[in-house]
Amino acid sequence: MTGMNLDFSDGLGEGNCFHELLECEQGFLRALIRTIGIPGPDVDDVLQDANLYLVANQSKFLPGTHFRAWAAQVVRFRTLSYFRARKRRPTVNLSEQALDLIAGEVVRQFDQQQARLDRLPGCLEKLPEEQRQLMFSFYRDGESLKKLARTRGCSHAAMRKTVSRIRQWLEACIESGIEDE
Amino acid sequence: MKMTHRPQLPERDFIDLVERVLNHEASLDDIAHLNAVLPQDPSALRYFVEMRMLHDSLEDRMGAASRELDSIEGRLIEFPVRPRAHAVVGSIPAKTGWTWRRWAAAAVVLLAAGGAFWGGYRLLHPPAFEVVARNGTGFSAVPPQGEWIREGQRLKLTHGAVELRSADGNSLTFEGPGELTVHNRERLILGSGLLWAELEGGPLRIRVPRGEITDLGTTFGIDQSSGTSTRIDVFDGGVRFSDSADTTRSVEAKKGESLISSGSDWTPERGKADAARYTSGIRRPLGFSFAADDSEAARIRSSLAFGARWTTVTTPAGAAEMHNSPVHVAWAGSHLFSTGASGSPEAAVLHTHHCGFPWQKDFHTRSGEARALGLPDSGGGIVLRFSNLASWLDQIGARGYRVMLYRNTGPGEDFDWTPVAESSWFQPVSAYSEDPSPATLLGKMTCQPEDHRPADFPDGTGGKGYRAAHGSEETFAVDVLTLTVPVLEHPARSNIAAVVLHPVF
Repeated sequence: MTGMNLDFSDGLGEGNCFHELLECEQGFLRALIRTIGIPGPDVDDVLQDANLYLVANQSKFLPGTHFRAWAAQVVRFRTLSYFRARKRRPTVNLSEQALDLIAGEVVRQFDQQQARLDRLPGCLEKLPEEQRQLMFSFYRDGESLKKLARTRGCSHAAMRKTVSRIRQWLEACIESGIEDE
Repeated sequence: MKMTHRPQLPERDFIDLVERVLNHEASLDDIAHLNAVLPQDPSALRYFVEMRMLHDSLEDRMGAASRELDSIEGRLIEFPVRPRAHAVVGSIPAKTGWTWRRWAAAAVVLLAAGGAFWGGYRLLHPPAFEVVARNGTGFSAVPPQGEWIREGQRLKLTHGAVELRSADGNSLTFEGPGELTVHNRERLILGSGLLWAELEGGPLRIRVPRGEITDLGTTFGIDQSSGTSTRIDVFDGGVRFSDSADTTRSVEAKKGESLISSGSDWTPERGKADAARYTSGIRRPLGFSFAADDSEAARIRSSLAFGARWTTVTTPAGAAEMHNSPVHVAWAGSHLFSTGASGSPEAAVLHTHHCGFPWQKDFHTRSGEARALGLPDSGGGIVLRFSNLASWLDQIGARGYRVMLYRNTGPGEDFDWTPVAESSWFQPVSAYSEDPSPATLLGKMTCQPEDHRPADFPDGTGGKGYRAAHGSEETFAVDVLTLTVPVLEHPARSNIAAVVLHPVF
């Protein structure tokens, strides 16, 4: 396993016991697993796997060190096991170096990202109804861009551009907080 | 919509590449390029992670990640928790499938390896809340009664509502569309939807996008149906609402107040509590009241007068669906009349009552209206029919219901009550089963002297005449219940102000 180049020293505090830390970090671990590229239906399986591993190896965790970084390493290792067991690479065939970098970035960004994503419902409400329905078709119903283009009578390229623009707008919206205006 | 673009966006080509990845249309060349760029460009790495997390959040919010589990993200999320001091009663949800068996086996192995974890956690999440009732147009989207929501589970409702109860007596009613995460029995995350809380057990904290609500011994509702605002309505006790961005900032609300936080300024505006916007407990008694006008009707509906959730009507004949229930009601009588106190919501329930004068005399059209509604044309008096009650009982897991009647005599200023036996002040109410038809008499509900109340009941604001509250001794379970009041026969008054159906469990 390649190193993740994470700082283990800025800990969450020695007073926190292991199970409290693990309980608190479930949201982070789930986000990390998804960001690495585990498909949605398998996320809970990998999370369980990681939780069991973390519990079984809790003696290796040094109180006062960075629990999140340690847990992220474990998750990253378990996700590789997942991919190997299924004889396939992550959805986007990312290199191990890229996976390490992504995991480290999730560790750094998670709290800030969660705060931004809390604005997402408001931003979705600001979308015109037609665009919101399009995103529902894509994300909820899992329809491909090709199929969406066909059913809506436009070209595949136009549909790709439309979905991308909506996603870009949502990204800018949660960044700028305009959902509150 | 104006927006401020974030700084340090990567090159346009990279943005397009990330879009292709998220659209599941990336080529092998794209991935090779991604693998090459991420280690070299921190802004590209940051952007990729941000967009990936947005993408995952959209999947979660819009349901793609759990399409196959419409109601509950039902897989176990197993992580250590401290053993609870309390004993949890009730059924434990059964889990099936290879995943469950595999981890159960793993759990056995781990525990057998020395029981090293037992002091610090239980492998399985303990059950936190039991589904005790559910409501909706179809039950496929809500978990079944008896199901336990475990710690760490997320409840998603596309429609309908579920009532949850913890072993220590806290009651929650969650109404979709929305998403509720049960972190544990003391902490919840309401992402969206409506939540009604009646807390008789331990303390509870509920996180919402704009902050956190801490109960101070209370009954309250949270309206998070809008992504841009949070509304809290307090009906008993109080709550503290803290700003998520600045936890040192908080406000408190007490019984009868509401808080609404919206827009860019977190500071909530205060208003009056409104129960009408919530499913205030699926198992709560159903109230049906006559009201003088829309204003009085709204005042009753926004309250929990006599512990019921209310359906109000302002016409002498008609049909309606009982609020947030499958029960249908139809009614006909001569006319509505309002008298006496109406200061409190309870007094307002009694204030306006339906009268049972002869229909063919001053109210000659009523017979036709009654027949059109499928009600018996008795030529006078009052008739009310409640139907689809069996579905309601099934929905809430009750074995039957009792009937409580609220009545009002009117002014009585030209009325000498003294020579008349008190039991004759009100006409008795007959209860019939029309399931199956023809109607079968179930019994008569007679108002006894001890049931009488003064005209200023319950808030002491004056009035003439008498009010009364009386009901059935026995428990009914018929699907179609018809109540009739004979026509006024001096001195016995024919009227009904309200009916409450109390479920019996």
